[in-house]
Amino acid sequence: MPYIEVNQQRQPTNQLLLPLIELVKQRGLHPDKALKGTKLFYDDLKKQGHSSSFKHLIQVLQNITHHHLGQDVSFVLGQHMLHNISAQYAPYLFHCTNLKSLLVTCNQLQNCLFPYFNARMFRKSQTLHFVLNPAISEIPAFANKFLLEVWLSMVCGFLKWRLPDTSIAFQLPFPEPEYAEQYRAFCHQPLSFSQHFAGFVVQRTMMNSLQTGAIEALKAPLCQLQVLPQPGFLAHIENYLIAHPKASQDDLANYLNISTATLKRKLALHNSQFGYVKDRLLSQKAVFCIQEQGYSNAQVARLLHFNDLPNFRRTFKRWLGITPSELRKV
Amino acid sequence: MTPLKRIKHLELWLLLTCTVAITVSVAIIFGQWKPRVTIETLDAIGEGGLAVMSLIWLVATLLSRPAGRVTTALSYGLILMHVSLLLDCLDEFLTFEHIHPTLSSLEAFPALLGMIVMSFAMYWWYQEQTYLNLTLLKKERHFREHTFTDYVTGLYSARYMEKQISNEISLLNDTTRHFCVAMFDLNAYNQFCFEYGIAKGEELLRNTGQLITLHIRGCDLTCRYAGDKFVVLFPATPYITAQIIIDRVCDAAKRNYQYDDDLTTINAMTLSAACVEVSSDTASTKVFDQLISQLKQKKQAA
Repeated sequence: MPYIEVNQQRQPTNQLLLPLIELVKQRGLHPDKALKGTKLFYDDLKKQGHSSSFKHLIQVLQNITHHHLGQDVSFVLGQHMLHNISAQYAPYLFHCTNLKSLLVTCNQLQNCLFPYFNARMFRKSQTLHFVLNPAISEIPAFANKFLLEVWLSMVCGFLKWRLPDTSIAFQLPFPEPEYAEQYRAFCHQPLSFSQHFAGFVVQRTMMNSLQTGAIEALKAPLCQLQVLPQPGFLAHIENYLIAHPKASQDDLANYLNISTATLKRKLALHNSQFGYVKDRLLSQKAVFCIQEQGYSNAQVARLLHFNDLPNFRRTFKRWLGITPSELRKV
Repeated sequence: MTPLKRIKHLELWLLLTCTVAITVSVAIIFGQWKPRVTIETLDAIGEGGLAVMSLIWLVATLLSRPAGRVTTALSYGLILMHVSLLLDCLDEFLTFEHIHPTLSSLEAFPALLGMIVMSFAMYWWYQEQTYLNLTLLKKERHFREHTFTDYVTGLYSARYMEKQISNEISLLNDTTRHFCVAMFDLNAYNQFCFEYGIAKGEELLRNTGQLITLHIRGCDLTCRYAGDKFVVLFPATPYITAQIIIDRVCDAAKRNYQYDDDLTTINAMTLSAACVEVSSDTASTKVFDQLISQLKQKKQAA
């Protein structure tokens, strides 16, 4: 299969799960309690080349949220991941001369660096907008927040270290939490909460920001990586639906070489539905067109292949809970 | 060490088990079962409930408290009270009148003895708490809330400091004395973690918290803000005095070294600091924002 499913044990355990277990162990939670319900044993996790599934990770996150281990666990874990990734992928990342080159490399390596999110890009004359969607399976709200904090801490840590003069605006889909000081301490970039989608905005002028100590000649080509990991199931179907916006459920099933009934079962296994994935992609495009490009309702409806304007307004209200004109006012 | 010896309060657990077993056995062996019609169900449930609750208190005491005089006295007192309440409950099902008519009246005496022992335990507990409060000087002010504690450093968190700053701001209206808030930031903490790992990094945070606490006045308060940042409240202190204390803390940090297990020095830590004097009604989050931007400017200038 050209994609990773939610219960396939293909994620290297030492990337996120093992550091998480070690961190909560340091904070007084027994590893067996953290691993409850995963059918994994702590000693096995430490074996070389051990892999675990995304389902295991979600189960562990669910287990640890019942314990008060401090509000900085996700942020500290992000710093730990930054060190791991820096050690593993330094030849590819550290010699990207500027932010543009770094973003291109990160896009190619996204399944290695942080395989839980899939970045979708929207272009504007002055800015680039990236939206983060779940890559493997739909993520429960508590785990989505945790993983976003890990990702944010990791990315901001990298920027502070390697591109200290770069400013990137991050958008988070939840309200400002009570422990906002953790965000202020770990993320030195502009943050905005309660947004429709998770993502970040890069000014095109920032694209030429130079990375400290980067030498282009020393950058390792990506072909040196023996096998690039495959994308997650949702990322795989989203990439297809972005390329084929008019595709039906049957078209997608044909593309995946499975029956429509199997596709439905697979989507249900990943806590999703065909309509839900398609709605998300369309709503993201609609929000970008309205908020950033100032398109009229008629223009957006035409772009998204809606037959009539009232239908578009109604659907938009169903997606986001507000009408397009209310979004413009925001 | 055998697994049995590793159990905390082993002797007290054994004493509790033996006492309960002996009480129940003696009552059943020497007592006579009452006819079912004479048993008062509500009374039995009430007295049984009291016995169970006293047992829960006892178990909670043994599980939560460290060994020592207070724990031993509390346990003895609770065991005696539990025996009394247990006998009171068994009394509903068994009668001892065939041995001696007044034997059942003696069931309250262990409770009396237990309460006397508990009274001593409470007095010692009060003394213990007074000494513990001394160790919390500079880490706590007028208010205790364990949910605001930071797990890594043992200091209070930013939430606690927010409350303290709000209190100080509310006092500004009554007095003309201003107060200062400072923020300390560990330099190159990320590189330290990269080199020595997260566990050593957290140890460094713990040590830094202690170092700051050691070099401030008794009336000041240290809390952990987040990440590698600490905040200190200087109540009723002018900016110049606060700055002197901050410089002393930074100097002390320069002279302080982290040691590995084999006593090799792994790093000398340095601190960056920012300080603001609060003289008007301001939200505590704004104070933090000011401190963070000051720190950022200082670091950029350096």
